[in-house]
Amino acid sequence: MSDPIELRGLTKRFGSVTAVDDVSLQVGAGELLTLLGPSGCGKTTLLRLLSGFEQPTAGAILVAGVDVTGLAPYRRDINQVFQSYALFPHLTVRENIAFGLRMQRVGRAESAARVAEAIALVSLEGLESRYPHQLSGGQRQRVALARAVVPRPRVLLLDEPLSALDAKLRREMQVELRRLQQKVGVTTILVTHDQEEALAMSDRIAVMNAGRVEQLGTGEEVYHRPRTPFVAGFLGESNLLPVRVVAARGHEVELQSADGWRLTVTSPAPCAAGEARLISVRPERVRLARAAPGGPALPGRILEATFLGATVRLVVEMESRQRLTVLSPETGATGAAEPGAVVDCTFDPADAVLLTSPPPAA
Amino acid sequence: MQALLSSPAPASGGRRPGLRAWLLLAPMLAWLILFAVLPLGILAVYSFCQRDEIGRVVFSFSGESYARILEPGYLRILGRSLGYAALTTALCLVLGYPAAFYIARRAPALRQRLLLLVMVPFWTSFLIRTYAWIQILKGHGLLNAVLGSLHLLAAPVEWLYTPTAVVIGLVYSFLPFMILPIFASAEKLEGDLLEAAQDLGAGPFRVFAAVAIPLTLPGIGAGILLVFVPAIGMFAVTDLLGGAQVPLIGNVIQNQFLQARNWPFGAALGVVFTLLFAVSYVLLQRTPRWERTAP
Repeated sequence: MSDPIELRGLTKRFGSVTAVDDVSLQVGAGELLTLLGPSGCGKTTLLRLLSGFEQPTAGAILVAGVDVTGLAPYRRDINQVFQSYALFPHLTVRENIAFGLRMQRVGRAESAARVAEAIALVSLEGLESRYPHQLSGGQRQRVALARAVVPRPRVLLLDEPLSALDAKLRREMQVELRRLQQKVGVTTILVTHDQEEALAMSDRIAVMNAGRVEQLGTGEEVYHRPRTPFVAGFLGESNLLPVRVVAARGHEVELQSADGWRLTVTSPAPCAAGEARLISVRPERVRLARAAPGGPALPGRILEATFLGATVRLVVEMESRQRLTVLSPETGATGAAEPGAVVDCTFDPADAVLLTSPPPAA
Repeated sequence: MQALLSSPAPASGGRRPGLRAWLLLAPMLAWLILFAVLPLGILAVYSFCQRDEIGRVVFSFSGESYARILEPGYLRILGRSLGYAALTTALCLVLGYPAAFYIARRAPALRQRLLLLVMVPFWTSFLIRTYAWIQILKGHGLLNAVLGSLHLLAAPVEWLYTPTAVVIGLVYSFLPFMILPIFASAEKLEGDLLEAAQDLGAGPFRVFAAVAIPLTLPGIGAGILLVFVPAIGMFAVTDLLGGAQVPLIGNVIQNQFLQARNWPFGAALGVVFTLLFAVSYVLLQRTPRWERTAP
């Protein structure tokens, strides 16, 4: 019941607006891939292309190698968990979950067995005869999930499935949903704008911006080795520092900042001397110390200090007026992390990520 | 319509309304008593009275008027009225449901404009619109002219003063009363639910049968109520378009008050008619099972 899905050059234009712009990607059988991006990035349109509620302007969708692009939603073995859950208010939990089987004209006995199995899977025993308005948000979420997997779709789509839940329940359901997805083994595409959700649940993440996939990779890859300023800024916080390429020897690249400090990093892609680039450094990788071996010395003055419990969030202004966000374990006991204090910042060259030049504005 | 017909919310905390509440309610209660309770009361009292030779109401108790309703002649008219009303309701439902559903699923701006079109006929007197139908249906009227020019008819058909004309007139008159409550129901139906049904493998027909119809049932019920009962008692359409060839119960009631001058009998028919409405209301306005369960 698990099949790979492939998107080939998928494009959707509404008038002059390109909502999805030439997206190609493959999701392996049983894999959970997340489309992550801000609202308006095209991830919801992409999902509607997959479910069949919108037709692409160009491109194709292949499920297990078979082109399903022109098929109506009810002819695709792709089921969706809607953001609103879209549970049928006039049907009980049992009837909601059995809906897909009823449409497939599955026999009564088999249907009952599969529904019971699904109800056990999402731990809703005892609530079979309730109506949706008699359930809590978390329970509705489970019904929606059970209803979508019971017809054994080839691909499962999850549209912001946890956005209607409160923060605590959302964390629990992230783990729960991931466990169920792996247990059922269904190929899944999750759409979310919540980076934490994406990191916690996905095998791979496709970060989307302006209708395109900016970067595709595992959570670790996308978080630690962002390729564009957008990805660096959207997943977690990032310091973007402008630099110029001084010399490039294969993957070894020597950089120089406007302030004059130098840094040697490894670049994933070749680059030429003289190019202007950005490097990304995570706030938790910046240390309040004299220059680390091979790292730059960045003296500055603390503008803001926000106590966060385990860490302190500092905004440091360097001599070049460039601001640096630092997450430091120095929680103030030493008195060094007070606004106005003059500090030295540095980071390990290995923690600096050379970004590809930002794509020209469309 | 739904809001109008549904019972008011229970008073908060179960307190009995105080003097101030009664004072605030007084104008509405007075209006109701004056224009609903009192006329119905008079009707009920008259229905148990008798008439003298020149048609005056004599206030002595009698069940004679009710017994007369059961005479075969009147039962036949009542049956025929129910038949015409049922046919009218069915046609209004078949024509009105798709229209209401279509309007409800449009973008808000277009929806408002289409809804206005449904209500435009109310701006003109009902009688004038019925007279207009005479022009359309008569021998050398618009309908025959159009059908003739399309070569659909060899010779003009006499539509006017036939049962067909009566049904056309009734359906025309009551269609908006079917469309509006169904529209109100369909507008509340969330698009996600229709998409979810398709997503789970329901083709257009099954989306309609398994999701759209059950969830718009309250609107359908209200529409049937608003068409069926008034259609039983309609007399102007039968008079004007039917040429009084097929008297319905409405014509009989009208006759008792105007020509026959038998007010008690007319009142008895009126009371039966009101009870019919009450029974239909109870049957059709039950809250759906899934809404009656406690949250």
